[in-house]
Amino acid sequence: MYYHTPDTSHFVTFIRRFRAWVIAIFILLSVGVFAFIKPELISSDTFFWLSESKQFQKTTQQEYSTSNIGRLSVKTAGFDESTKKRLQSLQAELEYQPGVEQVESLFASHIVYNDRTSDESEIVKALPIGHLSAEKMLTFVKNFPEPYERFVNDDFTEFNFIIHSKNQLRFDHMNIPFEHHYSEPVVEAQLGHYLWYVGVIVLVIVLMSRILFRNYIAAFGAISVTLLTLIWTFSLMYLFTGSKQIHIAMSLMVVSIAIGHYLYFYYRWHVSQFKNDSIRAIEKSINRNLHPAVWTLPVLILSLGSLLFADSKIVTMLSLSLMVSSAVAYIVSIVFLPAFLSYFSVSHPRVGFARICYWFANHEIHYNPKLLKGFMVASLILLVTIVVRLAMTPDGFFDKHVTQNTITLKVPFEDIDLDTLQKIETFESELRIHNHGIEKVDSVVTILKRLDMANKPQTAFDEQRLLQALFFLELYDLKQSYIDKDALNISITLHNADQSAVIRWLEGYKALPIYFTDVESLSESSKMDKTLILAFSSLSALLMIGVIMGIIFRSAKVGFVGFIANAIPIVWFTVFMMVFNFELSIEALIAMTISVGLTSDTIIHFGYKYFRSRYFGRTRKHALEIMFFYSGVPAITSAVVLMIVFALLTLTELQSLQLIGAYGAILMLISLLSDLFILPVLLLAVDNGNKTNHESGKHI
Amino acid sequence: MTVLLFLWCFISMEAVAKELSTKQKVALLQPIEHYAMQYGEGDIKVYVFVDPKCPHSQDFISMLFESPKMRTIYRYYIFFYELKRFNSHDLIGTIYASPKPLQRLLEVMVGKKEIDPLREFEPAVTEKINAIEDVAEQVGVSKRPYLIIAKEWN
Repeated sequence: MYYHTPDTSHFVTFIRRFRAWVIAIFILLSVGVFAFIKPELISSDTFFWLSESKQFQKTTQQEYSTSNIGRLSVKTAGFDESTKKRLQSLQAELEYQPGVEQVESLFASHIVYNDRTSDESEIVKALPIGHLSAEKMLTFVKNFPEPYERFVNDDFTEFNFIIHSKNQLRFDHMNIPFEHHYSEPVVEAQLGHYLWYVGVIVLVIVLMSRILFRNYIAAFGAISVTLLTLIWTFSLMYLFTGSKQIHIAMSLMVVSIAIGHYLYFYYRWHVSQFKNDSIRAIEKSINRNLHPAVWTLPVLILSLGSLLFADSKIVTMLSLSLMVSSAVAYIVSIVFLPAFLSYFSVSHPRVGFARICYWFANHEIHYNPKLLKGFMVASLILLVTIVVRLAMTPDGFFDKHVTQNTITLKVPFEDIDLDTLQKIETFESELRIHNHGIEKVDSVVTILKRLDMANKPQTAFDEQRLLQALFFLELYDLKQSYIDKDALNISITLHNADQSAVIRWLEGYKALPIYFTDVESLSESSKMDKTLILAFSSLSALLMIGVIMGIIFRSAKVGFVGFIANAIPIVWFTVFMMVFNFELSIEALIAMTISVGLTSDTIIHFGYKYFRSRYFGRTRKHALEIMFFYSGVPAITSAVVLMIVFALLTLTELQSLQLIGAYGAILMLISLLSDLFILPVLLLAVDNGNKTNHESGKHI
Repeated sequence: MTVLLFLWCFISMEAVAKELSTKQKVALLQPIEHYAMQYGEGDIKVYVFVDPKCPHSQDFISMLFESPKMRTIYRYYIFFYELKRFNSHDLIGTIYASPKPLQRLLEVMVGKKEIDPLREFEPAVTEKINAIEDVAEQVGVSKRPYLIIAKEWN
């Protein structure tokens, strides 16, 4: 129970006696394990999500290849012969890039017409539009804009090149002589991303160490504990799952948990040297944190445990990262860390900004119960609304707004006949009816109709005209963009649309066998599957945390505090996302999962400190001060460190890191505010003041 | 009166021709397949009516000549059907009368070779030209080149 103080003196003596051995064993074992297992960093974000995408499996079973689709937007001052030539050269250069399969643009388009010098010809002509002079091109496109709308704007100053490529394209080495922007997000981590990621963490830790603790020991200890936690976590995960693959999001979770755990132990060691020597400080660091730190384990395991049984390796790996790292960080903090710290003592045990803790305690002791009640009711109503909406309309909950995007599909076919064309036309019309923002659907129907209409037919489209259109399609080599050996290609251009809604609609469309072939849609589809699992698991985790907190503190009220204090950041973060129209994506849920892990730690440490102080006869205000001083400072420090780390990750080019970074930073801030302003007040509110040692007759 | 009657007949014929399905057209064309110059080895039959002097027809034949792919996918049954304004009857007869009509067709239409047209032809040649003309009228061939693709009925 929280009022027991474990006797750790023998353990500390043992660790101190064999400290060199302890450190050596940790380092050697870690190096050995690392060399033996050789974990694989998954550099491709896409690969991570595609690895278990059902749509991707469906596509590969059909032996259809997939491509990355990117949009290169080029801005020009105007359009004359020279600009036309330079844009044509750019088209050729893009087509020449390794891995590029197709570049759709105005300069790859054809004008389809019937030579009207006589009415006596049935010959349809298809001429590359680039063969026209700049002036004629401009006039032609302005007169017949429809086929070219997605490639050029009305005043011919912005040109789009839609690039289909095997690999993600890099434009670093290309000389594009115009102002340009490439839409495709970076999903393939480069060495630079990792170095940036590691550099940011190290830099922030060193700064924290210097500013807060005025030494380098804290930084060295944090880096050591984090490194050991990373190695052992991924080694154990390999042992449990047989998977060596580590995604950057998993390592972020481990780093967050390791730093969170470490700071409680280090901080107690640091400040205890104000009155005690460093040896006694080690003892205090362990015996004061042993219980709350160990309680975080069942809380995490039971709350996130259900995710282990989710039908998704990715979700399992993410949740396992959190659980295993928590256990590993705990062991490293009570075995390795004391051995390491026993070599040092601090000359400045005071922590300057710890004084603000007293400010918080002084103000929060006089909280307004009505205000608290109102806030709780509002939060609960919002939580219920979110849960109900998630349960009733889970699909509509997570939207992904895109300004411009392209989805590519394949539809198997045996013969291109009127029936096949009719099915595609019906598909297009239903797609437009049920989805907003469908700018263009480009398929074999589009080009066949263009070829047919060139003759200005007077009668209804029939089989003969279809055969003739197919003839001209073949004659002018226009086929390859639209027809493969056994599949028809459909390209859907979205403009200001909810991409996830379109993908969901396409997944549910049964009248045509549809196969996604663009990597982004496949990856998005896979993320959407996992999003719902993670969303429900995060909600069930909140309930489990409440139950376990109630059991630990033997109080239903504390259980409620555990539940609501964890729920508040999630609820208000969700509201923030909805109000500011941010998408609730898998990255947001990963950030939420990290937040649940860290907030549950904070609640346990706060609750432990507060009720323990109360048990030993401290007044409510004094208990609050002790709680803020011993648990608040490390909680604030870890939140600030992680907030800065997460915020800096938004500067990286890797899309998933950017999103997790942005969402994580916002969530950390909300969690921190909740920990500082709401949690202490909640503890005061549920403290009935009966369980002090004096009143219960127990002795310290 | 005669003019009106002629016009009525013409319109009626046009209407009948428009109503013909591809299957019906192919049924009319199959009996005269042996009069056509076959070009290409593909599985899909394309019946083509051209005039050797018509520039669009020349363009079309040139495109086929330059595209081996189009000759692998399709098999062309090329019929000459005169456009009166080109006055190409003699040239048509001369090409049909040559020992290798297809080769001569390519020389004239693709190679733009000038040949001296014959004035008189053997009855077989005239019979061929008339038979083709007869079917072309029934089918309603109004343009040159005029294509009928018979994928389903080969």
